[in-house]
Amino acid sequence: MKLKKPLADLYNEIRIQEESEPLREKREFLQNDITKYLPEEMQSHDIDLNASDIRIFDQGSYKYHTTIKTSVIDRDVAVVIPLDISEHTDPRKIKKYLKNALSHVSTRTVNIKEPCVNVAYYEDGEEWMHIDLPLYAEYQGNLYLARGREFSDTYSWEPADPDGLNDDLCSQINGNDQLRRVIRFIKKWKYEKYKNSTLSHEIPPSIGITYLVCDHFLKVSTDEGDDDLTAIYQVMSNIKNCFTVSYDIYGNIKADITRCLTVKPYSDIFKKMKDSSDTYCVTFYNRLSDAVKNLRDAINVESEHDAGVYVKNVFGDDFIVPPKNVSSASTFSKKEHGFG
Amino acid sequence: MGEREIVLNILSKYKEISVISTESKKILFTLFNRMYYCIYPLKEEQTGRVCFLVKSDEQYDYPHILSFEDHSDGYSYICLYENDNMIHFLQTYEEKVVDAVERLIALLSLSSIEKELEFQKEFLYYWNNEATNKHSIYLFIKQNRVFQKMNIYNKYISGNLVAWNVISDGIRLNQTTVNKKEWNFCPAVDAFYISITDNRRILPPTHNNIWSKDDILKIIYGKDFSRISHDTYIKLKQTFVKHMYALLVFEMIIEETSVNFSVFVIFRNKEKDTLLNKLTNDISKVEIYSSQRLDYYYLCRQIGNDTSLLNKTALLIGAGSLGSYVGKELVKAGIKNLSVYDSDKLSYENVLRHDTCCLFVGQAKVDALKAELEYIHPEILVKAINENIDEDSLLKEIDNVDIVIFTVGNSDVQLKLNRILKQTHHSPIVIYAWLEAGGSDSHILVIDYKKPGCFECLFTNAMGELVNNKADNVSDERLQTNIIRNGCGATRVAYGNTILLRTTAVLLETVKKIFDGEFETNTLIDINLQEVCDKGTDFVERKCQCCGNRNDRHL
Repeated sequence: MKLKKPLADLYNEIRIQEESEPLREKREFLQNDITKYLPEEMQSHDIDLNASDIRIFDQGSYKYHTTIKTSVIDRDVAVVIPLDISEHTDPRKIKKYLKNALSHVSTRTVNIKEPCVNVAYYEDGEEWMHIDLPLYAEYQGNLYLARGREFSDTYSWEPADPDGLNDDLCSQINGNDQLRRVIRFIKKWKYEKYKNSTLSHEIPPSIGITYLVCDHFLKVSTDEGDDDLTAIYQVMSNIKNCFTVSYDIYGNIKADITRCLTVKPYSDIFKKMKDSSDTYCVTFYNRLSDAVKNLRDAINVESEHDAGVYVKNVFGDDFIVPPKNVSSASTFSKKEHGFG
Repeated sequence: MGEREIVLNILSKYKEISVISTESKKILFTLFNRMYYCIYPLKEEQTGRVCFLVKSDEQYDYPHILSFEDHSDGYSYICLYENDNMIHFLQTYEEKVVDAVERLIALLSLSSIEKELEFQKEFLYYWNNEATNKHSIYLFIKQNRVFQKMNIYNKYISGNLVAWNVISDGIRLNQTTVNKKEWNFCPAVDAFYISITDNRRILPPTHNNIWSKDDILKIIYGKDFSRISHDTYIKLKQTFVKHMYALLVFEMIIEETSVNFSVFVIFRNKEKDTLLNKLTNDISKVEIYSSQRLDYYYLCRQIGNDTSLLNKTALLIGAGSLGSYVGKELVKAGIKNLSVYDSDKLSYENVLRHDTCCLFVGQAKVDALKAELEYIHPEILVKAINENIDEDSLLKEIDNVDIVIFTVGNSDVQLKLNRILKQTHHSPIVIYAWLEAGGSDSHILVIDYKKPGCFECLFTNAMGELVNNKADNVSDERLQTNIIRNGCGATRVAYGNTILLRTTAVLLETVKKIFDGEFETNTLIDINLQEVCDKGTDFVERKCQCCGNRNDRHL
């Protein structure tokens, strides 16, 4: 099977099996602080909140075990509090209270972002880790995500179902090791292609990538085991085919992709990306097309080395290209070993 | 075309290479902004190979460039071939040159992650070159790869520290190799074993990567990802240190091979604190120590021993020539705990077919064997009993062993003990091995007393009557010609020593198969010069007076 070992090596290189100890400690401190200080902070604004009513749980890749190594550690932890949102209609204020509850520690920098409260950690002026805390209000049996920047005019309590989202993705991914690997591989591709991007919403959201991979994944295996190369190619190729592509009268390409959440609010995951710029989706499509072409070439060429060169174009320098075929004399010589 | 012209011609084909000058048998060229010498062999040196030297630069860290081995003119050797990995004789001269140049360019074109992998492959080479300890450190580590406190013993000769033994709890060393009077417990240094579960970004010390406390922190408290298990981390938080010195013994797996390296850590003070806090906040100095892992489990794995034998114990009855060969191979194959019974003494006439030596002549064979075996490895523990095993001893021993092996030539002993073992109902599997005179035929009988068949079946005919061993092939006449009489009824049979090797090899395989669960029935194995023949259960006699159906016997 082609490139089995190099892909296995790449997977070992990119995967994060479990949270690092600094991340675990920071997360546990945060959770303790939320439980300890958020009720006090809420009380100071005449809102009753019992510590025991706060629910904190993982969201995102750490929940689905699809985390990959990136330059900045990134973790999503949901915070759910019971709250009458008909009375407390401004989620920005509640996010501010959460921010205040966490701001007594100098080693962390707390900011309010549109979908969450962001807690970042810096070393030598460089951010090395952040934990995003999406804040949910539980009201009349439903959850609502606090949306809106601290000083933005646009804000809302958006219906949400983080538990349903977790259940949906975990039920698809858990027990399907090849799917989990393919998700990590394609997230690695995204990381390689977008690691220099700084513009908001330019990068396809990870949840979108994860959902698209789950939608289009088909297990590929042979007598020699799972064929990850073909599985990645098929998934990426299928995702590419999901784009609606058109050309304007000048020959300029337009690309569009839609994937709605299967839980509340059932919104299009790529909407913000598309709303931010017409070019973002085109870039996504073009980069995906490049990857598909390289993967197809890798499958079609005969030599492992040549296939590896194509795959390296997709995954970057962390992918180790197998050596070229050696001469016939050297092939003989590989059988040698000492008897020591 | 001469050698130099061939090499120059090939080098000129590579656009990355620019030749600067040529000298006798070497060519100076530049490649990727560095200067290299190509040293080429003569054509008639058919096993010779092309090699390269690079201009030395103390700040230049690159895998396989052996900066420690500075050659003349400030050039360092570049290692392009693994030892014994190539048959240079098979290559044409041109192939040798092209192969070497391609290897050099491939080496110099490694990505950062490939360089890391290459550095890790040579981790201990770099580590040991930076080591500062003058004394030897021997590691005896338990096989379970979990965090543990270890015990340090030191040995002085003429007032000088010469060695440390660093030993996991539960590992016992024999007195033959590790004399307690010479080794002293060393209470002033704490020693800990820390298993690394993820070795990404762990690089050996080099010019640009001097090991410091940051490297230790990267292992125990990696920000990017965990390099130790969470359980180990918790142990670091729970373990207290009360001395100024600690030896950290790390283990990581590189290409399925254990790599152990040791760091000597000096703390700023003696204040008692957790190991995690001491390592995080209190390190004043880190010293790289070379160490050598010596535990039996590790060494067994190094040579590819079947791990199913590890931790098994054996009772060997008979320390004559066959017993000595079998005993030695058992302990080399993974059975390090052995009890041996024999009442005989070693004589000069035994020596050439015994696996001990004439130093032990006049001593009990079991004592000679114990010394010989325990010198193989400190964890080998041989209980030597200089007597013939009797019923009481046998019944005690079988409760503590996984296998019993008879290597005695006396059928009376075996027949008697066979009946005792049959009657106990809790005997481990037993192997009977014996040699025939003349040096051609030998036999191995595997008996699980819960299954049909026993040693006495060999001495029973179809009518249930006792007869001579039916498995034996050598005629009485030939037997007589091979008997050497020592006087007063004592005899020895001549059979040379090749039969010992053959029989021992088959017996060893048989033991492995037993512990791998490959024997479904009791089995007789015949060994001769031409073949090893598994006779299966053909030897079982229904009317055997020991294991047969007694009703059948009276029919």
